[in-house]
Amino acid sequence: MRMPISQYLRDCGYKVIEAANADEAIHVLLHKETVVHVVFSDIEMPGAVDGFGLAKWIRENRSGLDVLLAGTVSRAVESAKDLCEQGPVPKPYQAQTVHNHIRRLLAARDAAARR
Amino acid sequence: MVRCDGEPVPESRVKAVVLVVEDEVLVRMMMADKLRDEGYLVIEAATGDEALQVLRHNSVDVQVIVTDVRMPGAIDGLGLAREVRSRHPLIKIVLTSAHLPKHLPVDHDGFFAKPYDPATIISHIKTLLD
Repeated sequence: MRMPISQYLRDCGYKVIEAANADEAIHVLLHKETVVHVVFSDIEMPGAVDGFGLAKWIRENRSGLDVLLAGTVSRAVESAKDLCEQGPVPKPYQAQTVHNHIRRLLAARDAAARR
Repeated sequence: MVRCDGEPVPESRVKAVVLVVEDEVLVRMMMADKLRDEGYLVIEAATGDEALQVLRHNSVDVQVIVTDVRMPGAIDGLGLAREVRSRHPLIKIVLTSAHLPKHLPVDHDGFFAKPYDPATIISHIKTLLD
């Protein structure tokens, strides 16, 4: 469930927006007033769109966003490498591992912005 | 619950635990954000089923539930309220809805019509917990 990782990341100082599925995530990302820098998503999710579908939508519609996927199925995890910046993060994951990935993504973003 | 640096969160930092149950993600996000700004630990659920899973999980003691009445899934806000009253009688239940009912057929601790001002609900939660 989302709660442990969301709460952990909030405690690390991040503003965390929770989405129950890809449809909700897209709804949030289409909301112009909501600022998002990184999307962390499960690969296997209920609904018509899974994590891959969400990552593809982000690539096509919000290309400036960093995407981090988490999954359990090894073949799916391999495919995720084409769609996201780092990882993927194999499940079950440690919250610290996710945090480290996010820190690296944001550091790379900052470095790119300074160039 | 574990903190970012590996230490447990001291309980005194958190005012109370509120479970926000709302299928409209932007409404849920707004309510949750305002509650967190006020020092509450907020758990979010998009459906009644998810809310029941949270309550079964038992890792945190939910003290207040703010739930929309109309939600998709097997259990709506009224069903959730009935279940919570039966199994968790100490949890306060606040209902919200875009439709103003003449009568709510379930025991609850407050009702707010949508669109609501989160500050009004937060003020009511403070009253419930005093």
